[in-house]
Amino acid sequence: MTNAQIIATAQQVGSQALRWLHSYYDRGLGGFDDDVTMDLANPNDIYKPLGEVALATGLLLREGVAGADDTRIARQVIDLAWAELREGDLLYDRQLRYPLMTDPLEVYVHFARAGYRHRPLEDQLATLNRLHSVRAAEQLPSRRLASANARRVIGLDQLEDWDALAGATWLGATPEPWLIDWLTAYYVTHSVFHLTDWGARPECLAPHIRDYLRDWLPAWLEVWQEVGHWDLVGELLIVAACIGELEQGTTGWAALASAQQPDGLLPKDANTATEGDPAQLLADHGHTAVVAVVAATTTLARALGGTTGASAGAPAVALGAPPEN
Amino acid sequence: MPFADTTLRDEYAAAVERVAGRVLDALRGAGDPAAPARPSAPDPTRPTHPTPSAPVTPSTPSAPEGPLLDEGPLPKASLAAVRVLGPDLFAAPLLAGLPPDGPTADAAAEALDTFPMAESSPAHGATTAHPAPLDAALANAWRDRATARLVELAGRPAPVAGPEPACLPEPTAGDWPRWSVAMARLSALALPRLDGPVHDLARRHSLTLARGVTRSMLRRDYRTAARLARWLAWTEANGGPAHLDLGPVLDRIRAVGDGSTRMWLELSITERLSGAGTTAAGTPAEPTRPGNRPAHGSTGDSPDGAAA
Repeated sequence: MTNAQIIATAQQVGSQALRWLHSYYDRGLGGFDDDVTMDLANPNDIYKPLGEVALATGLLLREGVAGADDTRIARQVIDLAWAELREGDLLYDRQLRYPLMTDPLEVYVHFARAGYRHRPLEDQLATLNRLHSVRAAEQLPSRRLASANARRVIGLDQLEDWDALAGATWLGATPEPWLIDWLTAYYVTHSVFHLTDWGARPECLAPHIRDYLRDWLPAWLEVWQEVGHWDLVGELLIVAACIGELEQGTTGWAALASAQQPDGLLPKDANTATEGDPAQLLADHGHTAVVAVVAATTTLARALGGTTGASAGAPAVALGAPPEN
Repeated sequence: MPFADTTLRDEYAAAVERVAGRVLDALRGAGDPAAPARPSAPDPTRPTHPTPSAPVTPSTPSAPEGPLLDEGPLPKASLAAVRVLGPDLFAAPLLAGLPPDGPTADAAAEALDTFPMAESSPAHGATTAHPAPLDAALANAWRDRATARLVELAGRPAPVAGPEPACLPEPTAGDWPRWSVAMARLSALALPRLDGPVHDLARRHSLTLARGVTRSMLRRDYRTAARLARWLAWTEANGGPAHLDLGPVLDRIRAVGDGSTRMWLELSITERLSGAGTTAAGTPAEPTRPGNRPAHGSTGDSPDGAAA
């Protein structure tokens, strides 16, 4: 598969995954009940997926490498998600009530990246940013990177020691690549996502980490491709794009294209049902659709030169709609 | 010892284990006199890079100093095992910087005579349009050819070798896993004094071999992992870059592998290749460490390395 074929496959898989997502959100699935408050009973049910949908569509809008139809659909989906969060008010309330929680910040950044801003929330986050508590929070190192990158994208004062943050992760230690396991692989992919802001800042990956990924990514892709874990394969394809090794995704992209169903559903793995209750299908495979859209966007941005993908060193600029608050 | 209900295949497999045990004993006798017995439980005091441990091989009472194989005519199963193990029979002298020994060469020659040498499509028959098959027959052809070469180096009459088998094609982005498995089948060639197109291929693609180790470990295919680790040890010993710290890889395979004598032989050879730092010609090489890697693709070709 040549680079042109990778681009074509990525474009097709990503576009179909986006349309599949859109079809669910457009008919009202994936939203909160009307009486939702800042005290979310289970943040992983609706809240986290809404942030992930905003991530995928926001990146698509940031990079500007999708066609007109896909761009329009992405805008519709992120509008729906922003409305579910009451245009940021729910995030504001939740952050005010729970100042040590990082999820309002981590969800907000995906909207902010695409130009959906909430000034009172940003003022609140700027105040929190000056607290020692924020950087002392007990968190997994890769999650700590997520918060740090969110503050960077939003434009808060940069008080992070990025080398120390990267060095605290499993990836930062460049350990035995043959000992990685499924969960650790997700920590690795997320470390790369946050260090590079989803491919926009490839130069923020230290050379020894980039070399390590270039050496071992093909082996990891191969292993999870063989067992049909398409969700993780998609995440590893994002890593390939973030480090500029698109050709390492050759067989991975072909495998995703084969696994994707005619309606655009990309199974998260080879074992989970792909038919049945729509809400269950969205719960099971929604994350994989997000991953596919992000993988396609970062791949196309890297190959074609998206807004950020072509210019290593350029700051991530929030694009799109004017501030709504 | 064959039993009435033992199939020929089982009998041959037992013979391979028996002869591998002899080779292992010889290897330990030649270079690892302090090797401890194989622990029955993990030993927390074990060093990070332990010396090779002896496997449980009740049928291998031979002294390290004694002959590798019994005097007199060998039973057919033993001859079959000799042929299967091929170049590994000579691991002890080769890894000690010595030429292959005569008595073992005689047995190897007899084995090659008893069982016709494997042949594969000749090298000049391989074209880009028809790449060489990555099959077991090809591996056997290369193994037999290497055995014959070592018999020759021992100063014994070598069996007539056919045309040089086709070399494996270069690995590609799509088929490197299959390529690495094919290289694993050829791990018996990774010994001092053997050199040729397969070795050149290993030199050129040591990173792919290392990826193969990683993939095989993650798939829990420890036999393939051990064989590829051996190739990596060989490329490192010949001046190639150090992609992986092999000590922990070998420790892990020792802990979770199939425990066969043949696997332990593979691991011991790998350890000797990397630890002894011998080049293809059997002379000491400057050890290569991660972080101080020579340029990728650099080789330590030995001027007198024999073509396999």
